[in-house]
Amino acid sequence: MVISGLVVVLRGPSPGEANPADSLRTDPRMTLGHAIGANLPLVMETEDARSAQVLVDEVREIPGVLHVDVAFIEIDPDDAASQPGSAFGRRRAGERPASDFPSAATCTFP
Amino acid sequence: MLTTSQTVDRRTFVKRSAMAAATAAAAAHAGRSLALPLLDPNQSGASLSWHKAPCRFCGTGCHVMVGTENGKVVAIQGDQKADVNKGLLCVKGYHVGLALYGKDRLKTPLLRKGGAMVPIGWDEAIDIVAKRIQANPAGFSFYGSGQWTIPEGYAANKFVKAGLGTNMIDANPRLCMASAVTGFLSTFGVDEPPGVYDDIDACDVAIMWGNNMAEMHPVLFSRLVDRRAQGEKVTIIDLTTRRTRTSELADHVYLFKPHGDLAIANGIAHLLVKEGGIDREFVERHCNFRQLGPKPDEKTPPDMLGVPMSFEEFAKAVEPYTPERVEELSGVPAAGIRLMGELFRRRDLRVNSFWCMGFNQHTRGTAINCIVHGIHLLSGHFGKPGDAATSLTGQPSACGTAREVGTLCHLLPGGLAVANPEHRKHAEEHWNLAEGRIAAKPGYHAVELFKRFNTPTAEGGDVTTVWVQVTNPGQTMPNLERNFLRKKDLADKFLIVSDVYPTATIELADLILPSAMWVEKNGMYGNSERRTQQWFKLVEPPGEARDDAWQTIAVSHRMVELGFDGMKDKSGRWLFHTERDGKEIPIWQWEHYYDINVDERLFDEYRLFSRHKHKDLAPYQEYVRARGLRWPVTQQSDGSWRETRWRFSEFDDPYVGKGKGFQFYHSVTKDDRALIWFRPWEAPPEVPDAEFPFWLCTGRVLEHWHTGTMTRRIPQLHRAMPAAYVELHRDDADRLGVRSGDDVTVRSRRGSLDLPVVVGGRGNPKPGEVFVPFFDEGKRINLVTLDAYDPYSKQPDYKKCAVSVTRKAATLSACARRPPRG
Ligand code: SF4
Repeated sequence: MVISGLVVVLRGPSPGEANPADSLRTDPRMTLGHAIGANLPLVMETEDARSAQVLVDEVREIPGVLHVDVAFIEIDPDDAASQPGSAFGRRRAGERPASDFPSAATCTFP
Repeated sequence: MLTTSQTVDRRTFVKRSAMAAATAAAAAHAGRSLALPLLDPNQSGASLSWHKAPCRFCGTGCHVMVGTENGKVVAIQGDQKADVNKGLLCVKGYHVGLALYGKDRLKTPLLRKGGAMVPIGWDEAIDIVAKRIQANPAGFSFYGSGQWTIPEGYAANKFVKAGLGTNMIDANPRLCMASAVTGFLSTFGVDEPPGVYDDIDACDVAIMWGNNMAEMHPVLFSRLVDRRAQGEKVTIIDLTTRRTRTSELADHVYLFKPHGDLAIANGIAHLLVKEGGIDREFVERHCNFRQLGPKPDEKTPPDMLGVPMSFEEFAKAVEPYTPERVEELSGVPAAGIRLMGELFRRRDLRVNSFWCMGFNQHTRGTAINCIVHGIHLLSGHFGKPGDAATSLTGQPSACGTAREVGTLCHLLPGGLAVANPEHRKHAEEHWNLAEGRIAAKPGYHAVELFKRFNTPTAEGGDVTTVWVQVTNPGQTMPNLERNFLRKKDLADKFLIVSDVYPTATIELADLILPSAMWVEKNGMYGNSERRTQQWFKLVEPPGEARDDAWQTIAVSHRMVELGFDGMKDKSGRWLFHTERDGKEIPIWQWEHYYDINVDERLFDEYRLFSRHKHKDLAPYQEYVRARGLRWPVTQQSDGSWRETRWRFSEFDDPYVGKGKGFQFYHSVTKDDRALIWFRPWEAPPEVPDAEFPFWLCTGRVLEHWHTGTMTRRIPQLHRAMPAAYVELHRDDADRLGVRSGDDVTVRSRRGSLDLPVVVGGRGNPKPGEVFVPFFDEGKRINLVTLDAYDPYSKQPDYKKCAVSVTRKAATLSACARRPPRG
C-alpha cells in the first residue's frame, strides 16, 4: 500500500467546467483536506507505486488542475510489491532491484 | 499539529502524517503556515522546543524550525518567518531531521590496520594526522565542501594558507559552482549574483537555462508557480536537453542539443543587435565589450580577462548567429530563438534567467555564464526587481563558505586572490603573519589534486596526504577509476576522511574521523542569494563524533606541540588562540571546545576580510537574531545593520555613488563598467560517434541530495527513490529491444555501469541521449563520466560525454521471449 500526501493547485473551474474538487471527492482512494486558497491538500491511497503514478497523472489531467505537488510519500515497509521505484517516477513495482543499502563501503567495521 | 500520544494504527498514523504534510505545504503555498507532524510517532510532544536552522541540504537555503525533545530532533516545520521559503519545504526538507538518525553513524575514530578498520582514541587520531602533515606539509591537501559551515571552512583555510604556507586546499564547489564564479569575475570583477530571490516574485519571464528548478530548487519553483495560481502571468521558458517536471509547467519548452546553449545565447545577442533590442543608454554608460585574446601557445588558453572590442566588432562577431544558424547548432527552432529575442527586447517586461549545473558543469562554463550576463546587460534587463541573471547553487554553503571564505586553491577569504600581492599583504596583516608567508602560487584544483593523489609519488604524484571533510569524492570525481580508485594500490598515500556515515570515499580511507553534523554543532551557511545564516547546536552528536572545526583546530595545536612553528603568527601566538578576560581557553581540548562559542570567535575574525570586496558581513550576534542577512550588510547611523538586495543598483546598494544609477565598483576595467563578452560557440571535446553513439547527461533527483549519503538513510526518501537508473527515449529503447526495468550496460571510453532502464519516466531525454542520476553509491555513474574541464574555472563537464548503451545478456533472452512492441 502506498500513501501519499499531495497538494493539488487549482486554477478554478472555467465556465461550464465541473469543479475539480468534486471529481476528486468521488474517488474512494482520495481523502480531501481543507483547501487553502487555490491549494487543496489530499491523501491518496493506492495499491502500489505504479497505480500511485497513474492516479497522479489522472489528477493532473483533470480540467482546472494547474499543478500537483508531492508533500509526503510513505510506503508500507511490509508491502514488498511497493518497494522499488518512486510513486512519482512511473516505474513499475518490482521492475528493478534496489542497490545495496546502507553503504556499500568495503572497510571492515568492528 | 498532529499529536501522537494516543495510540493509532500505523496506517492511520501515516495517513494523518500525509495529510498534515500536504496541508502544511498547501498553507505555505498560500503564504500561511502550519506545524508539521512529529517525526517519531512515540513522542508525546509535551516538552517540545523549537529552534531556527537552515535546511541541511540544497543551496536554496530554506529555513526550518527544528523541534527537539529529550535531546533528539523529533519534528521539523518550515519557518514562517523566513523570507526564503515562507514556511514551505520540499520533500527533502520535511525529512531533514531524520538525516541525523541513520543506523550506521560513525561514532569512533577508525584506523586502517592490515586491511581492517580498528577503533582508536581521538588523541591518537589527532596525533597521526598532525605527524603525517608535519612530515611533508607540501604534499598535504585539504579537500572540503560547500557543506562546510563558514567557521569550519575558515579554520581549514587558515590552517593551510597561514599555518602551512601553501595553497593546497580545494573544495567540491569546484565541481559545481566554479564556472559561475569565473562568469561573475569576468563580467563584474567580483563574484556572486547581483540580484536576489525577490526577483522571482517580480519577473514576468523566467528562463530556465538547463535548470530543472522544479526538482532541484523546488521551493523557489513554488514561488513562481504560486504567482500563477494567484492569477499573475509569468511566462516560463524551459531550455533543456531533456523534459523534466519543470517542462510540465513551462509555457515553452525548447529541447536543445548538448553544448547548444552557447549558440542560443549568441542568437539572442544577434537579435538584440539586429532588431533594436540594445538598451543604448545603459550600455553606453555602464558597459564595455570584451573578447578573448590570442592563445599564448597551443596548450595555454587565452588570458581570462581578454582584450577590448568595440560595439561594432561585437555586432560583427554575433552576426553569424542568425536564428536559422542557431537552429542548426542547437536544435531549437528559429521561431523559439526569435521569441526569446523578442522577450529580451521588450522593456515593459522583467526578465529573469536562472541556471545551475547545466551551465557550470560545462567545458565552456565560463563562456556561457558570461554570454548570459551579457544579454541581460545588452538589453538592460539588469539591476531592477525581476530583471536579473540568477545562478543557483547546489550546496547549502557553496557561496558562504567556498566562495566567500575562499576555501579554493586560488582564493583568500573575502574574495581576495593568492596571486595578487596586495591581497596577500592584506591577509598577512590581518592574520599577523610574517611578510611573504602566504604562497603566491595557487594550489591544485580538485581534479588535478586527485589526479596527483592517484599517481605514484615517483611518477610526479606529489600529493601524498589528503584530508577530506564533509564531501564524497569517491562518488563525485569524474572518471573515478583514474581520479579516485587508483589510490588503493598506492601504499605511500594516506587518505583521512571526516564524515558522519560510511561513504564511497571511506572505502579507501586510512583514517576515519567521525563528525558531528548540522544541529549537532553550531554553524553558519551562506545560500545562493548572498544570505548568511546562523544556527546553534541543539543536540549532542552520537558516540565520539566531534565538530569538523574542532578536528582542524586540534590538529593545528598538536602541530604546535610537535614544534611546527608555522601554526603560530609572527608574534609567536597560535593561529587559533582564543581567550576570554585575558585567559586562554584551550579550545583544542574537546571538553573545552564549547566553553566559548568558537563559531563566533572565528566568524568575527573572518568578517573583517569581507569589507575589502564590499561583501560586508555584520557581527555574529546580528545573525543570531535574523533569518539570515544578505551582504553587503552595512551599519546605519543608528547602529542597526542593513542588508542589500540589489547590488550595483543605486536605489539599494549603499556602495553605489549618488547619481550614478548603476556602478560596477569592482570593474575589471577599473572604470565602474561591467563587461559584455563575445564568446563563440565551439564543438564539445567529446561527441558521440559510431562506437559511443549516445550523449550521457548526469544529475540529481528530487528525493536525494547529491551523493545520497544522508537522504538514502531517510527511509521515506530511500523507498521513494531506491536506486539509480538510465532514462532512455522510447525510440532508442525500442531500437535496443529493451523496456523499463530491463538492464543495460552504459559504457564510455573510461568505464561502464549496468543500470535498469526507465522509459517515459519523470525525465525524458531526446533520442540519442541518456540521463543517469549520481545519487546511488552502488551504481556510480562517475566511473563513466569525462574529466575534461573548463580551462578557466577548472570545473569538469558532467553533462555530456559519449557512451554506448547495450542490452545485458539476461535482458536479451527476456526480450527474445517478449513480443515486439506494438
Ligand atoms: S532541500 Fe533545498 S528546497 Fe528543499 S527544503 Fe531544503 S533548502 Fe529548501
